[in-house]
Amino acid sequence: MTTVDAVFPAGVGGPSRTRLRRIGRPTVVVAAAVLVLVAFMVVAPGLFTDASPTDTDPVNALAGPGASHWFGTDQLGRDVFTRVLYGARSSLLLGLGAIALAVCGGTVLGLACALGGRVTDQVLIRLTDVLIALPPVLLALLVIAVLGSGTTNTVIAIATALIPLYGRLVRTEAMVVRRSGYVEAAVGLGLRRGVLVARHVLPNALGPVLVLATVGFGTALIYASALSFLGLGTRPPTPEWGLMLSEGRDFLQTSWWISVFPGAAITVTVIAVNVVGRYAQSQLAGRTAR
Amino acid sequence: MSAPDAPDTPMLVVDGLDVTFQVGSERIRAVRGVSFTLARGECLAIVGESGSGKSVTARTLIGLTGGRSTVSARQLSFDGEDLTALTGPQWQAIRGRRIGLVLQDALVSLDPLRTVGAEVAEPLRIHRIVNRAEVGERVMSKLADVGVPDPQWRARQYPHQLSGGLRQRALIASAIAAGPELLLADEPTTALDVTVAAQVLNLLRQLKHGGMSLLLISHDLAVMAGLADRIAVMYSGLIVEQGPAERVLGNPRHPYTRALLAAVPAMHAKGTWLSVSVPDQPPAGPGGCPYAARCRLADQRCRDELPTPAKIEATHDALCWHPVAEPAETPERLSIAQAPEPAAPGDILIEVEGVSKRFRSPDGTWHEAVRDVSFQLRVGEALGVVGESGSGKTTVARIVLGLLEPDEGTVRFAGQPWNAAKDRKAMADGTRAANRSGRRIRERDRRRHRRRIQAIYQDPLGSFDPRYTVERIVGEAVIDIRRGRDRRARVVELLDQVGLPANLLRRRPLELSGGQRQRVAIARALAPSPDVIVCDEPVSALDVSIQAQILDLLTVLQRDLGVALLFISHDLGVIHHVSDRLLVMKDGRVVETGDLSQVFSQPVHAYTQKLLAAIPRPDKTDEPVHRASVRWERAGNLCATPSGPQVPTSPPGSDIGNLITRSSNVMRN
Amino acid sequence: MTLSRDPGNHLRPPLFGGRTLTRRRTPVRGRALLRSAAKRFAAGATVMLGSATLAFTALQLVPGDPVAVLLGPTTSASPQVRAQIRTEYGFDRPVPVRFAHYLGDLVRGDLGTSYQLQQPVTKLINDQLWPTVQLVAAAVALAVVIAVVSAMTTAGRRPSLRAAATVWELVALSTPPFWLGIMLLTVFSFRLRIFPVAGAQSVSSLVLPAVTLALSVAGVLAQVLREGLEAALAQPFVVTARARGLSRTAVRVRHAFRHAAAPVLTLTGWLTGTLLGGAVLIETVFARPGIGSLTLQAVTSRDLPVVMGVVLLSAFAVVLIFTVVDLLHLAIDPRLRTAAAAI
Repeated sequence: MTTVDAVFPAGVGGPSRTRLRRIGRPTVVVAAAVLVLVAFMVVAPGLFTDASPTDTDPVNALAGPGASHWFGTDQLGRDVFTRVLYGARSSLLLGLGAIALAVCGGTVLGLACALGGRVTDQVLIRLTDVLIALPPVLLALLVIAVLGSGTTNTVIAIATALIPLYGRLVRTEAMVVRRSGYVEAAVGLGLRRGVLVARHVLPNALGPVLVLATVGFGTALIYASALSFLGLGTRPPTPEWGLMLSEGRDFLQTSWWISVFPGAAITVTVIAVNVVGRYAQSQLAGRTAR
Repeated sequence: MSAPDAPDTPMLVVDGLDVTFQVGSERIRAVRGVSFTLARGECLAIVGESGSGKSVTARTLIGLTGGRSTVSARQLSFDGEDLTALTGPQWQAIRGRRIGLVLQDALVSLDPLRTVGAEVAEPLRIHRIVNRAEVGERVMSKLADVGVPDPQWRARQYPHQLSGGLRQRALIASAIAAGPELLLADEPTTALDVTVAAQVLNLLRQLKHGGMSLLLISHDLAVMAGLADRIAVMYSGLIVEQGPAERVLGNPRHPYTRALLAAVPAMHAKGTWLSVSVPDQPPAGPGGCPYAARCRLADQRCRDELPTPAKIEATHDALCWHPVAEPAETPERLSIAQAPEPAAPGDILIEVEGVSKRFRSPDGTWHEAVRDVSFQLRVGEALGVVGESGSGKTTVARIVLGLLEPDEGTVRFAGQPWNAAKDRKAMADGTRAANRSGRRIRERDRRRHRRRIQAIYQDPLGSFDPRYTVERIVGEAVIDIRRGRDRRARVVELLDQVGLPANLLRRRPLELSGGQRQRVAIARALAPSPDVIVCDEPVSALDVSIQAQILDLLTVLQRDLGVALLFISHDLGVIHHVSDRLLVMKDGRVVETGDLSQVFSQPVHAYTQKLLAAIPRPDKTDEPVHRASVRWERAGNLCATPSGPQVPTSPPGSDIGNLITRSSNVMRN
Repeated sequence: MTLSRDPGNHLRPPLFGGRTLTRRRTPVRGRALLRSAAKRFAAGATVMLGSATLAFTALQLVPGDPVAVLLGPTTSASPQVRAQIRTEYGFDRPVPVRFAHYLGDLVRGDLGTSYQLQQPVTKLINDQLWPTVQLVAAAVALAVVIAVVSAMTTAGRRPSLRAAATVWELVALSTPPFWLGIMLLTVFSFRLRIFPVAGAQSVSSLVLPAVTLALSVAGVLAQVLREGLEAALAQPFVVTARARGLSRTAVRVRHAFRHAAAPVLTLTGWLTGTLLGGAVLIETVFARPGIGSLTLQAVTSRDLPVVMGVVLLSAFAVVLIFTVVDLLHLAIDPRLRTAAAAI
């Protein structure tokens, strides 16, 4: 399937190897600061607020943003600001788990292709191509249809959707490295195959993959919140950005804030992840200049 | 077009040209105060190494230096018209119509997605030279003018379907289609094989005879020698010497020009230094002569003050405080101590026997890269392999290195089987025993001896792990010492051997200059004390003066360490400097082999004769051989294009031998 | 190279060995195209077969008894009824036989029967196909237009302009489409009341969903196209073209765009496929009927035959899209025409 060979969703869809634009340093600093803040929200959301994300207060239900409730309250009177803070944990852990699983699976798949001999490669890569041809969201939905909904299954579903992409990426990288002048030079020194792979092939092939995985984390985050939004991931009343967004949909006409703030949280986080990820990519490109 | 056509107006007057680039927060002066004049029908060559500002100078003349540059000049006029005052549309009216530009590699300088005909037609359409109906006809005649055979057919092809020489001709055709008076040619022959380059130079010569003014840009003094009326040598944004070609080449006054001439390997007897060794110089001040740091004659004045042009003759200037003529016996010309004896023939180290290899081309056909090649390399010997691109020399190197398995034939290393074709018959029998006893050599068995045969590549950067420091790169090859201080000491010793300071240990490959990288590659190759080093085009990517240093280094190391060299190059001059024996390859075959002096003085094969004749020399002018070359290419190209079926002039089945005989007949006539 | 071989020679069939015949390239090109078409067909068939296998495997993988799933959790059917259903649906036959039957059904266009709705999947899909096709087509067209305009006006221009382009691309591709949809609904439907809140009856009901779906795709395409244009504009042939007297804009339109278009074309093809997945979200947000809503319903109720039907449909769509993309590639890049024969 030659056509899918070249297919990689650049940017949002997953890993890409497009030429990179230099992103200004101040932007990167701001983005990194955003990520640090989000990381604190994941680890200790209580640092920023005393309120509880699950305490209901029917009297103050659907109150607009104001001094007492910065982001307003939802239909049960829960503080949206607090829920956004606490929602970071489930949202980010979903995305993180999915991308970690995808990269690990992709690495195993890609290396099996690149180093496992021609037959293995051909069989695996045909399989991968079939999976790449299918829309990732659909693939994730298929997995959920088989396994059922829930957080663990969401992670597995997203990882399944992304594994083929990373598998192909790792394979390409490993092939490039394997045919590189420096691996040839190392062969010429009489290094054993195992040493060669461990010393030169793996580190050089995985470097770019790990950097691209940062951008992929943003993608996974969007997919995770999308599944929660569809009611297939996190279950209420756990605060999760995608789920909160979906819960607010019924009140859009009157109370826009219930949906808008969690969505903004997703968007800002993904932008920050993309900025930092691309900066890392441009740094790597400058260092190796392959 | 309204400009005066008076014969006394020079074609081009450049006075005090300055070009500055803004790179980040830095300002880089690429061209500083360059001045020259180009008369009508004259050919001026600007020669310099990469980064000397020669290309920028040419781009300025056509207004294409790019957005981040600032151009200023006291005078910059073309046919009396002030170029600095031109607006965008006015520039567009001049470009192509009155000034043409030819760049280096036509594969990328012509739009690869458009037909050759469309590219040649473009200037005709832009400038409305002829009406729409006549465009096609004009394209054909232009292609025919530049010596493209069968233009009707070629015009419908794409650049990648043409051979390098034809492509370059097509590029020239598109540059001159609208009939410009001035042609700027930036490295017009650099990407081409020597024989083809000679033909393209000949085409440029014809254009000049036709009355066109030419401004040539090149890194190679020798290439320009036969064509240029005048030569300007650039260094670090300055024209350091300028004058009539025969004066600049015959009586160079600037030390840099002399170093450049000395660095041309073809010019000198074996066993002389190509590079000028310079004692450590204190750094030059910001206002000083930029060459001071590399100059043997530099004194305090050179370091403090930029020289003023010294008039050698009316038309010959040198930008130097010491524009002395070359002394009869200069230290630069000293021979390498103990000029190498013709190596005493030692034992046979590598024996290549009947090796063939074929590859699948992108279009699905098979291409025989190497056919039935046999040779021997003895202990301590330097064997040169010369051939043009596609002659199979790199494939031979890879087979000798044991990185590629031949389809037929064997390679023996120190008497032991080293690399061989799979024994098809034994494999066909299918028995494991046959397989084991068969001639197939496994990597596992080869590994122990790998250290004895090392390699240096054309692209050292690609042969280094980008994450590694110099210490780790070289240290990895020091296989007898595992780690620790001893190993570092050995690395430092090796670096010293190739003339690199120990403070480079922590650098990464990207932080090194081209010459340094190749030295590190040599140090790594020396590290396991090999018996032989295979050098695949080790200097072809380097500037002439760096090339000279590396060649000198290799010569000295070969002599001192007694290591054998298999030296592969497309450049006969380079080969001449390094090797004892010579192997000439063409189309995957060895066409001639013998001692260096014998092959150079009495070449037997017509192809060798042609290669020798095509070596550009600064002391060479027009030669009848060029006439022959033109016909040669016409004949040769017909069966040359890599894709699609074409008409060979010889009936199918006849080989290149016919052509060789035929063209040598042409030469004799 | 120049003086040498004719690699085409020894593989050329004797038929075309003559002097004059070979000069015309048509026969060989025709063969090459035929061969590459065959390869492409095989590749497409691989994807279809692979998807079918995947679908079948997924059906087998459902934990628990398929009959139980079929009957739903509340039913208490007698063992006899269960056995009857088992035979009726063929659950009792060995796996390879069932797979063969499944493939046979697929070839006849029979995608099975929905567990939940008890209707043929083919009919269900058929009923819902049109609104989704409209949505995806509108979104792709919109995205391509936005991307081309954005890239052509900003590539290789002033730093400020390029920075602005970078920012909008980044924001566009980082915004979750379902959130964007909600924002657009809030502003344009609830506040300004320009567009309807839900449904798929009128053209105006298509505007917001299409814009929502298009934006992130447009961001990605604009980015890749701009980078491709900038890479093309840095090529030597651009200098050559400018040196002929071509203006900046003309170089962009006549030379650089074609070079940048090739990778974008592939990407557009792939993204069009992914929009089928995106439609699930957008149709939910805008309460539009379509394949997306059908899929979500099926996934929620674990109605696997329907999910499989949609997966196979999208695989088929992707194969179709890529056939078109490949043909366009051949039209754009002559270098592929020679290579096509080899693949």
